[in-house]
Amino acid sequence: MKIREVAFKKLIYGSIGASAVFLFALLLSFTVFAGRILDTSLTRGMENLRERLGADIAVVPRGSENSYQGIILSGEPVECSMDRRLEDELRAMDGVEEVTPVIYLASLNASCCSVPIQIIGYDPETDFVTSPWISEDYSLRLGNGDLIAGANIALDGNNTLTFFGRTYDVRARLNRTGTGMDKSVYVTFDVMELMLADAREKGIEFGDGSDEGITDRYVSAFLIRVKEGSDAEVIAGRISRNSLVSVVQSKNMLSSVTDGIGVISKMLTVITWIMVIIVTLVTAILSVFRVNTRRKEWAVLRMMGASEGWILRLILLENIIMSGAGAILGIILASLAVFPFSKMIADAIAFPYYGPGAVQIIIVSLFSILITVLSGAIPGIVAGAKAGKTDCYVLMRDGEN
Amino acid sequence: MKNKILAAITAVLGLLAAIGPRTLFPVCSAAEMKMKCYYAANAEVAVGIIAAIVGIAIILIDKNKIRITLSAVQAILGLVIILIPTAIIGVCGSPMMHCVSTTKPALIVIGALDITVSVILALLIARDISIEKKTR
Repeated sequence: MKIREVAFKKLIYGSIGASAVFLFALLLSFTVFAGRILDTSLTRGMENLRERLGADIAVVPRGSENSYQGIILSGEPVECSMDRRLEDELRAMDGVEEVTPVIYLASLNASCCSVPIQIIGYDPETDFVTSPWISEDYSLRLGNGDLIAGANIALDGNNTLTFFGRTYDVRARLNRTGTGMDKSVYVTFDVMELMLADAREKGIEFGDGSDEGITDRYVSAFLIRVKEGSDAEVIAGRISRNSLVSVVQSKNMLSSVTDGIGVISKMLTVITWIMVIIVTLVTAILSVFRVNTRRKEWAVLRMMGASEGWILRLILLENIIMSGAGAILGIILASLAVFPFSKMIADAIAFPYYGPGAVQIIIVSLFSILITVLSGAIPGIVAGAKAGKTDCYVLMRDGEN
Repeated sequence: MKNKILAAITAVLGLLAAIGPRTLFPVCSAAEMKMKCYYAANAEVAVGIIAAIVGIAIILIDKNKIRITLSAVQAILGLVIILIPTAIIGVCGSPMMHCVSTTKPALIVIGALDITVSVILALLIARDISIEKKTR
């Protein structure tokens, strides 16, 4: 009989306490896999955020700093307005390379609107933030009266969306980013003008509430790119002397996200390593215990001609089979917890969250299996060596007592 | 004993599928208008209760041939639990709705677990049947 057949038969038919080792391996593999997937998803979300942030500085109405961060990070619907005359002043500042205005408008949770979401209006003449990655995704520019929808926006039946009683065609849908951009709709200022007029009829005030050319006079924020070599901090300081506006620096926003994700990542790593240590210790104790309770078995095997190495390999193989099976089941269970609930997790964490691709999932799975099997194999070697070294004659004498 | 524990698990999963969409992982509120997820939750009540009854029947019935048939039925019910929010009725369109982010994945997980446990149960009962035949 081959050694692997002996090991399998012992595990399937023998009552050798294998289930405890299996359960601990399952627990470890679940923790490692789920932890690594969460960590990877947060890191990828942050990379997407960094790539698509575009501007160095955002100038928003005084008191709207948190609202702006909410739009970027989680797509929370916000609307605010400020005088557009500031644009020329910003353009004239030393160190400022580009300035583009944007308008934020929140749609309503009512029958006039398909979904309550954030509508972002951008000026195609000056834009340097939104257009590059829209055309990167689709190689096209928005036509008049068309919308570009984020990945998480549900469209009406015939690829349209209705806002404030007017229906718009959705020209394209953006790739998923895991940031607030997925929950937003993008329109040019021409379309935004129509929307603001319709919104006014529904009681939403923007700017001074006048009709024609409102986007020429009022906007929600200015996005600024600074010249290379210029200090964004200094420019931000100069802008914030204006008592009507607040300044949000992308660098600071990114660093607050990085810090938050860093804390979560560190916590996940600590939990993983604590689990590795606990499971390895418990498996070692269980393995030694099992070896001691099977002393007669070793004696019989030794008398039948089994060498020390054969017994060591048998115990090692038993542990590898148990921890390997536990690792695979742990990954399956962790997948059931992590992947279907990814949107819920993303909402709960409130950080950019973008799930890993197939290759990364395979790498994480292999890593989890390796860690789990090692945590079973190392105690297996220790226990196997102990079993192999026990003397056959003493064991048989032991049995007579 | 092992088989009875597994059968009890399938009964609990059926019960979860029945009451979960109204309590633990609720669908969207139907205060303003009834959406797809509302009807999906209603359908899950019916399927979940049947799954719970089938699970209890597997515990109570002794004849292995009937138990293995019921296990197969339970696996099919697990599949239906998954198909109601994904294909047969569906849930709300927007990925931002609670029924999409919570109820649907919860029902998929419950259905998948129900199928897995039912298949393991069927295999164990099949093993018992083959042992019975050998000992005769």
